[in-house]
Amino acid sequence: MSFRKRSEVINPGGTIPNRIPSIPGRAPPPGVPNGAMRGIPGRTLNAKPKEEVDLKSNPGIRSSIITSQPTISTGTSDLDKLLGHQGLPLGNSLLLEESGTTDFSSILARVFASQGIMHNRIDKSSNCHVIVIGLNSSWSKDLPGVYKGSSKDKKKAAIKEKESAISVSNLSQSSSTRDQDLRIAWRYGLNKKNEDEDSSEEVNENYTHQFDITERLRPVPDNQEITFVQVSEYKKMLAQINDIVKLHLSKNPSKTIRILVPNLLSPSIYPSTFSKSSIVIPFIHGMRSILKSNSSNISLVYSIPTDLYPKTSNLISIIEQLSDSVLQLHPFHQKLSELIEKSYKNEPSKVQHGFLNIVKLPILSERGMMTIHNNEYAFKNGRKRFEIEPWGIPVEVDDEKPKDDHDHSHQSSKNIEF
Amino acid sequence: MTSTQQQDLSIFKDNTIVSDHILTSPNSYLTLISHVEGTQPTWLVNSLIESSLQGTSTLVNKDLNRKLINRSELYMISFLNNEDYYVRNCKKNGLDLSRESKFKFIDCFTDLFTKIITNPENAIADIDRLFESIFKQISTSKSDKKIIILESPEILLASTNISSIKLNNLILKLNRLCRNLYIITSHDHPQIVDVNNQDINDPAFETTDFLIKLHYKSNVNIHFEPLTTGRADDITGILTVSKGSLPFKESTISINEKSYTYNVSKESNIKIYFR
Repeated sequence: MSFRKRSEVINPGGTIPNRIPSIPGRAPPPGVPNGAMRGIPGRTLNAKPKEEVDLKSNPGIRSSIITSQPTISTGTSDLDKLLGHQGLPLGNSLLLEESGTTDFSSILARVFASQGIMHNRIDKSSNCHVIVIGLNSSWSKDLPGVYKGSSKDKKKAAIKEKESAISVSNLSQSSSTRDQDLRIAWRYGLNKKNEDEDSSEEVNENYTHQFDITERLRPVPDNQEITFVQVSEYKKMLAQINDIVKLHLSKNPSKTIRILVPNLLSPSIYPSTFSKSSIVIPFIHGMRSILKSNSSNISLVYSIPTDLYPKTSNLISIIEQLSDSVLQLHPFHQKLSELIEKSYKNEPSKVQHGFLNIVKLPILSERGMMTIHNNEYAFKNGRKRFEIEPWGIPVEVDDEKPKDDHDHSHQSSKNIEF
Repeated sequence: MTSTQQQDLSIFKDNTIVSDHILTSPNSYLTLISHVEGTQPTWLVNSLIESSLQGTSTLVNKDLNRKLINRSELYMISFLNNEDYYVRNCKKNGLDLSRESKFKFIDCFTDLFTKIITNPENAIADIDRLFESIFKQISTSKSDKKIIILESPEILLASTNISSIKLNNLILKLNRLCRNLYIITSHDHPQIVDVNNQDINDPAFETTDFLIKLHYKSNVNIHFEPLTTGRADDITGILTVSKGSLPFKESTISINEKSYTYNVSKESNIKIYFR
């Protein structure tokens, strides 16, 4: 009869393939070399054991609500919701196609970059790095800053800050008035509410921020936070991006890297030769390859003007194939824009700016789901946020002035006569 | 007692996805899988991989439930995705491809335009070399039952100076090495296929020519497209299985020509409906 030590764990939860028993004094089973598969003759594991990266330690990452994959925020909460995962899953790319002469996509791109910088500044562990292609460092000076609330909120915050500062007057005041406040708060259950709010804020606090496009992100991001890659030969660019990625991941394997390609193929940034399919497709293919090789750390956002490169062209079709998600921004036609402005003349905040069409969504499209939504969503860009909402045709309101009583009675009699 | 008819996908009349008669045939056949934007055929490719490797088809045909060990050897050649993509997606089918000895992934994606093709404007020699290495890898195995899946070869046509005739010839050579070659390609109109395109400098001209030539050589055509009536929440698209231009040489192989509607859910569950 043999005894086993009580503390010895035989099989901690389920079978572990390729595990050789580590019972002292017992040799591995005959015929099973180290690293060979059991049950499958002649098969050795060719898959490299992936390094376990603790992504939970990165405050900018959250699990997708659909697939549980690590996901990062785009900085625009409505866009995060639209993508279906509450963000853009790492290892996926987002292509923004924009028609017309507007540049809404660059706002989304700037906010995406700002969100990365904000994640990086949460603590000193350097969680995120942004790589911008085709632009120079002056671009980082225009990144939107975090929304600090309305002027009222700002004043309140200033008062709160003053109150919380340690000073003799504050300390003498606190004992009498604050106790009274707390008693009243307890009586009406206000404290409880505050506690709830605090706990919910804790969960989402650092994942996504609200940005104000009139504010500027200060201090301006430095070389440690953002890198600019200039347009050159596509192979050189890919090699450069690859080197930057490797450098940052060697320092911190759980770091997220946001690659941003604003206004791809725009003549103001790219030379005309770059738009040749023998250059731009290999470039995007190479980017996809870097993305998929580092699928737990990188995400990619790029925008392209479709007036110059129409959707019906072979080039855009191949670029869409190489993208994991595709959204189209179609600013409204002038007439429709006028109608909307007229309908919402009393509520200018409701005026939308264009249609947002979904062509592909990350992971869901690759699974074979039909995700094309045309003219179902509209977007509007405000100072505080870029909003996306279901599209509805606005009700046309007559411009005529309200008639006085005399007119009204006259009209009603007319109606009766009719 | 009421019973509902089981609506499963079968490409051949012997109620299979990959027929035994094809695997035992001395001939080589070609199947063309074309898809339009919004209807990615990933789930069918996963079912083809599953059926080729072990004969089952968990998600689309419940009758195919008998597991066969080492049914055939499957080579996946992709210009669009890496191995992780297939390993991840086939988990739903109960397959762990990282442990399947008969699943071989030939990576034409990761270093395609960095190491494999050094100059896309003068890439014919590089592509020749790439296909030679593919032929070599496939020929080293002595198995008679080989299935090859080739994904998105049209990327080469759009980005390099290779002609559709040259690519077709290379694909024919590849076809001769296996029992069945599946080619997955996009069929968007007019971006990829535009029969009225007269501009020889437009890549769409080459891709159209390439696809028309493939249609002349295929034995089975499988086409995916969205609903013609518009988007629906409960139907993803239409799947059509039809005979290709060339017939099968064996009378035992017969295609189940049919059109289906299907629905793919967020969790990758597939429902097939007869039309």
